[in-house]
Parts: sequence; structure tokens; C-alpha cells
Amino acid sequence: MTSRSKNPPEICRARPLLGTLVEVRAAAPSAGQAERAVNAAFAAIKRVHHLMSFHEPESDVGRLNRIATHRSVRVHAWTHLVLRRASRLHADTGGLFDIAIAPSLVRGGWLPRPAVLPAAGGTTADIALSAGNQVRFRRPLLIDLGGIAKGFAVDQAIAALRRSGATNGVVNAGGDLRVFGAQPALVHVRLPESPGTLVSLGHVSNGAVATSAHYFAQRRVRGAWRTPICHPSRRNFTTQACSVSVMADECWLADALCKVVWLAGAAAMPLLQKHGARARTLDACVGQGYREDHTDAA
Amino acid sequence: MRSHWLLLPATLAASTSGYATIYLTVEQAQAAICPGATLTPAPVTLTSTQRDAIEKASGVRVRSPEVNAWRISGGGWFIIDEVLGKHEFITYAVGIDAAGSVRGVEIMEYRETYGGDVRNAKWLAQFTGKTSVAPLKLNRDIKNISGATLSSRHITDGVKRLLVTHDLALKKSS
Repeated sequence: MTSRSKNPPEICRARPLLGTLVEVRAAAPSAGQAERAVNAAFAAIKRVHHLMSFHEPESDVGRLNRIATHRSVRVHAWTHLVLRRASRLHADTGGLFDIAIAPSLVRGGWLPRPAVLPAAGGTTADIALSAGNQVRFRRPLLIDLGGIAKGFAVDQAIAALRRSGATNGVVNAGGDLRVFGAQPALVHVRLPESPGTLVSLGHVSNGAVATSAHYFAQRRVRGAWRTPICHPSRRNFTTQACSVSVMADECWLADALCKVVWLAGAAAMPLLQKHGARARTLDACVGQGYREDHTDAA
Repeated sequence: MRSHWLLLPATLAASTSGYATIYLTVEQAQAAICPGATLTPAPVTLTSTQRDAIEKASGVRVRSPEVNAWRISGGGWFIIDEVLGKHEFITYAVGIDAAGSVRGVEIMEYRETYGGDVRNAKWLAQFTGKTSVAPLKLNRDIKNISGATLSSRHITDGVKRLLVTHDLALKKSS
């Protein structure tokens, strides 16, 4: 990555983690410090990956899905924090944000089938969280943190960059990105009907952007293309061709709110306002270019 | 509450047929994965029997018989490999330690294109002889794309194939 000589050294690296490509960029007073900061950021992301992966049987999520219906399970403080945030958001959204829709994701083919697949019907409200990072399911549940953990990992990576003395940084985990430092970063988003065409969302400094869209995640279910965003009560998968971006202070929030805006549209406004977040929807309008919907809480 | 709509003229869109990012040169990737070690080039050409065996054991297709490998001082291998997705072409490096486990994976170059199949030989041809890759039609200035998840499955499959390649072809030549 090029930088002018008066700027501090900046390095940029990418590694496959969280099921996507994670890019970390950092500037620091010295190249060695930038390198150490980037390595610390990747270590944080790797840690979140190993704690919260649905696919790894020994992750916290894997253990919870196997055991937490039968007895209380102690998890890492990060996992407990993500579960507390997910529970609050579940309550705040009247159940629209739900980490317990994994059985539907398994049936839709987005997640691998576990040994025992609980019946649909359980929700995030059936997760009991207690002191000492203890977690227990009040009924058989299958949880997946896919709608929040990636953003959380980005936040932890940004914290690691700061701790390591980086002065500026950007972490982008497959579209969930966060920027810190005095230097703003220009953020782009793909047009839903033409993912190779990019439009600018503007400059972001000390904030996060997350985007949910259909173009890479879609698959054919009973003859129709579906995205892996599932309505918790209707338990159907959305089919619209659009892209939702949410801007918030922290990436876990942007990541999670993105799914809520996708499902609720303008009805999510009060929630966005409560969290100081903004949303932008890009919707393909045939023959008219692209309609951009600003849902600004300002 | 304030909400407004506006029509974006199509010209405002940064129209690209693709973009590319170079993260690491060969030397930088070697230093990142094997800091302090000495690397000796040890390229290997797989026999057709080895290719078949690797495909069978890894479940991943072997596109090229050439293994771009280096021996790491003190044991292990460093390999540079390429994978093709539907729209992306990724060069990456893998370090494998003497025990046969991954010591690091780094993306070296990422190229993405739309409007044409990435497998198109002509498109790929512009990247051979990597000293100065023609930036033609490839936008390197675009960073920070918040654009939904691009799966890393091809890289995961690539690493699986290289671990089997190490097991069946490299280890025996050590």
C-alpha cells in the first residue's frame, strides 16, 4: 500500500478467517509496530472465530448447542458478552433479531446438520445467562452467531490495533468493517444487481459499516433464490434483490442491525435512533439507475 | 424522524470491471510466515499418479502439476498457490511445519472481475510473469468495500489440497 513519506508506515494484510477474507490495515509510528498491531488484530479475530464458529464442535457455540439444554455451560467472557447483546437486541426488536433461528438455516442448507436438530420454535428468549459466564438453554435450541460475531470480531481487532499502538486502522471482515484514527476511510458498497460496480458510501472515521446483500450468499431453495436472512416468526427466507448498509459506532451493532433493517425496513427507525445508527438501502429500479434510501436518525 | 429518497444517476457509480489488491511480495510473505528462517527454492512437478492421489485424498481438483515450493531451514515447507473462484483470482502463501500442520496462511494478491468469467484464459494471461502486472481495467484505488460476504471456501480447499500434497509428494522428497 502506498503512503506519502511524511505519513507513518502503513501495512495491509489479508487472511482467510470467519469463513471470509479478513483484511486488516494499520498505520503506526514504525513499520515493526504496524506489523505487530496487524498480527495482534488477526489473533483477536482468530480467537473469536474459534469461540463462536457454528462449524467447530469445540467452540463455545458448538458446546452450547450440544450441552446447554442439559446443563449450564461456562463460556468465554467474549461469548457471554455477545450473548447478552444478542438477548438485549432480541427484546428490543420484538424478536426480529434472533440467534436461535439456526434450525431454519440448517433446513435451508446454509448450516451443516447437527446430530440432533431441535424443533423450530425456540428463541433467543429461551437462553438463560447468569453470572460467571454461565449459559443454559431453557428448551432445546440451536444457536448461530453469524449475524453478530463477525462484527464483534472486527471490534476486537480494532481494540487490538489500538492497544498495539497503531494510530490509524481499518478492519474489514467480508463487508463488516470498522475504521479508527484521525484519517477517515472512503467506504464503498456494491450495487446489488451488479456486484462489480461500486458506489461510495462516503468517508467514515471512528465508526463501523456493515452490509447485508444477496449477491454472494444466495442459493436456490425450492426453485427460488433466497438469502440466508430468515424471518424468525414466518421462518421464510427473503428474496428481494437489495443491499442494506448500517453505520454505527461499533461493528457488532452495525452487523446485527443490518439484519433487522433488512427484515423490518423503515419500521426499524426507532431502533436505529436509539443506537445512534443510520441505514442505507440500495434497491435496483429497472431503467432508473439506483434508488438510494437514506434512513438517517439525525 | 427524517427520511428522504434520492435518485442516483448511474454515472455516480464507480464502474469497474474488476479491482485488485497486492498485499505481499514473495519475500514479504516468506518473512511473514517464516520469520528469521532461510528458504531454499524446491519446486516440484507432480506426476499424474501423484495428482490423482492428491485429488482422491483431498477431494479437491489439482489444476496444475507445478508446486511452487521452498524448503524452510529447520524443517517444513513454504508454498505459493493460486485459487480461482467464480469472480476472484487469489494468490496466497502457506507455511507447513515439519509435523505437517499449517503454520500460517497469507493472501498475497486478490483480483476480482465481473462481466467475464474469471476462468477466461485471456483475462488470466495478463497476470502471468508477475513482475509488473498490467493494471489495465483493474482498479487498485478502491479499498474498504462493505459488500457482503465473499466466501473463503476456495482458499480453505486450496490449503486442504496443499496439506495432502505435502503429505504425498513433498514430505517424501525431504
